[in-house]
Amino acid sequence: MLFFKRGRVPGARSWELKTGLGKGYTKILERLDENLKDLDLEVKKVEPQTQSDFKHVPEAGEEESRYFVRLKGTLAPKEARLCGWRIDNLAALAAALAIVVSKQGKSERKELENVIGNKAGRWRALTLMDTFLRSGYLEEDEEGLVKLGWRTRAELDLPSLMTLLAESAGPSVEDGAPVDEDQASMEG
Amino acid sequence: MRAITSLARVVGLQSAHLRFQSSSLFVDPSVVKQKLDSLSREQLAEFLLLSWHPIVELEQLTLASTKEAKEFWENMLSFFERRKRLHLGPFDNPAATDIGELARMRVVEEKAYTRKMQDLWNELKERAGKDETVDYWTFIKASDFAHTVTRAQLVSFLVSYGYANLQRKGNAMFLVPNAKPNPHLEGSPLSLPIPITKEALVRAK
Repeated sequence: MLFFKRGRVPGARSWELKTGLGKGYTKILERLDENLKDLDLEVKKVEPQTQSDFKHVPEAGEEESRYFVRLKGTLAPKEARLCGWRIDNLAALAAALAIVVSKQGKSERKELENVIGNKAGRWRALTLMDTFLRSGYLEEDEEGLVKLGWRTRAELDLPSLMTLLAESAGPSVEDGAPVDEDQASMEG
Repeated sequence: MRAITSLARVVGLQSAHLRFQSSSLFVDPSVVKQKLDSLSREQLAEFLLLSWHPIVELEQLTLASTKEAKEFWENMLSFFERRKRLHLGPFDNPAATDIGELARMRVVEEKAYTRKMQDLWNELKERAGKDETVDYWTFIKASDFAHTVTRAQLVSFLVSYGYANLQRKGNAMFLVPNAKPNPHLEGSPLSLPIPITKEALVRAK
């Protein structure tokens, strides 16, 4: 149930696991988590909408909590490339998430496109935003504001990302230069 | 009562804001923007990778999904039935095409660019003959403007890559073909923009 993708979103909801495994499903998940350690994997529980709006509604969301199996450690740049990720895309995602988090979980799409555009090129920014929305890293609400998506809540350690960003070295002139379209699209 | 509800809402929002500010996620948006501008793509990607634990996802065919797909396939109307609904008129059967037709439709180039350059170089050598020079405008002029521009572009590459030289004598320009390509290893020594005007083409023989 946790490994195989059965719908648009991977993983399984609490009630599905409860139905399949019985009331003691959390104990079974704990055992599974222990066993997965050897494979550098872990079971991750994601409560609905906790990171997006910074409001905790524990009881109401319990049944809708989703469990995923994810990598316990992290990927090296080379491994990420093997998974089909380009450096441009990773940088753009980092920038988009940092902006949304700094704006308390919601940001305007235009602003995100501008920030991504500085790193990956203007045209690529538009397609990358669509990709991030489609894959669940970001979500767009009824007001057209962009917030963190279910995949970000499942895969990203946001405090770590923000700490790394806050502790990063100060501005350097050469790094700050905007990227032109050709340079951005050459990265394989 | 409404005032108390509104006040409670303000306090609630303030509480959420304070909770956010006290978390490790709080960084001033302007500082974040400044940091993002100053960091390289590689640094940003590295930060993301250090905080990223991708989900394990395996896709598979299940008995239920296979049954569903089979049912869908069996209930689906034929292509011709579905096409009827769109009122597209009579159906044209697919026909074969060839390179010549595709070239006429400008889907593909009939000849590779280097081959075109080679042909034009041979033509230039032939037309130069014993004089070893050909008037630039006479050489590039073709039956229509589009072909003239194409020839001018090819000639510019011939000169840039050392297949020919361009000489100026007063107001006239002459092309001198080289027997062997003589590329400028350190780049072209000069750049010469040549506007293709109607007057110049009319003057050409």
